[in-house]
Formats: sequence, structure tokens, C-alpha cells
Amino acid sequence: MTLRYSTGAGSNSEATSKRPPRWAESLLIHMLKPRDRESIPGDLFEEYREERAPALGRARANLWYYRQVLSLASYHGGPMKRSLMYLCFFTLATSVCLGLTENLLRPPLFEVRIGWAILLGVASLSTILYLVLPEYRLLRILVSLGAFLMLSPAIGAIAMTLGGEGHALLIGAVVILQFSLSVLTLLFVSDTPGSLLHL
Amino acid sequence: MADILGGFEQAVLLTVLKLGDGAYGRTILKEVSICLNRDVAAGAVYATLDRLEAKGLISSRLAPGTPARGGRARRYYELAAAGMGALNETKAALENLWRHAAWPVGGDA
Repeated sequence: MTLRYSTGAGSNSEATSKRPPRWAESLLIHMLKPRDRESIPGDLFEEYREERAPALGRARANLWYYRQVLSLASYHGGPMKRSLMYLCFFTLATSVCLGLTENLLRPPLFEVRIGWAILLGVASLSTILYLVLPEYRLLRILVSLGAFLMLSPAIGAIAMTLGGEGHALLIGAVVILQFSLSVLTLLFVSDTPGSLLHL
Repeated sequence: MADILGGFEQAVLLTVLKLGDGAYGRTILKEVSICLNRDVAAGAVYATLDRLEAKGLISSRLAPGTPARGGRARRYYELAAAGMGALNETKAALENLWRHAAWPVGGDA
């Protein structure tokens, strides 16, 4: 019985070391289109097992696998894009409710809260438009630009209201930076031929 | 005349042509990385294959899997007649453009 247990554990461990992390594999399978759910994970499994794991070792081979999953996430959205869209709709609705509530109740620092609500709403709306209209690059640029122009005065107004306090300016700067990076990601990381970073 | 193919599209099409019967995702990814002399992300290759197939420049078929790949099917790619035409047209167009420029551009590198 001990022998059987020992042999089983050994082969199990060996099999585990020669396959990519299961959670990453499951994530990959779920975000691919049905037609690719066998072939692409199979190709990466084969490459991992035959080349990467023996040459790089398990940890670095896993890193390689994560990178491939991330790259495929950018190009093969599928169900993941739909999930993201539902989340964005939820956030958009929430931000509208929050903004209206803050405006009615006007608690201390309500301007900051409204600013955050606007930020969430604009970011969500931009993401939704990006997901729904991947082909219309010019429209995406205009929407993103409009969103940014809307956001900047809002942040500025909040900072002015608070007398230019350091923390408000800092938050504003961080938020603008974060939003700019999001816009860049939306514009340039895409599965459409029009994307500037498209290879 | 059809649109000129992008650089990466040309690389993928020429790799499919070169690999012949052995052109499937993994071999294409590896060959493109070797030819371009850099580590190419799988997403870029599969998205390009997807797009080229949608344009009718390549076709694909599924083949049974092997134990080495966990029993999962392989998708083999093949250059279609339209793909060969697009490659020929692209090469002709680029050569036509380069004819009027001295190489290397701007003098000795």
C-alpha cells in the first residue's frame, strides 16, 4: 500500500511539473472562442512541456505561460469582453446613482465624491464603447478625447473647491494619469487592424 | 489591386508557406520568432492567423490530438490561392516602391 502510494505521488508530481498551471489553463480556455478551445491551449501545452519547462525550469516556464495567456487575452476577448461589458454597465449605473445621491445630500467633500462618480462613469462608458465598437477607431479616439476633456475640468474644479489642497491635487494627478493610461490601452491594445500597436 | 499586406501578415503567410504540411500554431509561432529574431507573443500570431483566415488568405483544418499536447486537437493551416496572390502582389508593390530608393536609405548604415 505504501509502495502504491509512493509511486502514485511520484508520477503525479512529475505530471504536474510538466503541465502549465491549471488555473491559467482554465482561464485561457474560457476566454477563447469555442473553435480555438482545443487547438490553442494544446499548442501552448505542447510548447510548455516539450520546450519551455525542460529549458527554463518550472517557475520561468510558468511566467512564459502567463505572458502568453495575457497576450491572448488582448486579442481573443470573447466571453471575457462580454463579462467586462456587464461590469462596466453596472459601474456606469452605480456612478450615476452615486452622483445624483451626493448632489442631493451634499455631505462634506461631496465634490470629491461626485468627481469620483464622474470618473467611474466616464471610464466605464469609454470601455463599453470600445468593446461594442472595436472597428470604429476614429469614434473611439473622439469618445476618449471627449471623456478626457470632461474629466480634466472636473478634477480641476474639485481641486479649486478644496483650495488646492495637496491631497486633492495628488489624487487628481493620479486619477488623470490612470485615466490617460486607460485611454492609451483602449486605443492601442486591440484586436483590430487599425490599432497602432497591431503587429 | 488588393491592399498591401502588413509586415507581420507577410511573416505569418510566408511561414505557413514554408512549413507546408507541418504548419500549426506552435510551429508557426516558433518559426516566426526565429525569422524575426525576437520573442513573439502567441496572441499576435493567433490573431493574425484568425484575420488571415477571415480574409480567405489561408484555410485551416483540425487534426486529432496527441498525448504530448494533452490529447487536444491541432489546427493545421494552409495557404489559399488568394493568399498566394496577396503575397505576390505585395512583393511586386514593395519592389516597385523600393526601385526608386537607394539602399540603405540615407547612405551607409
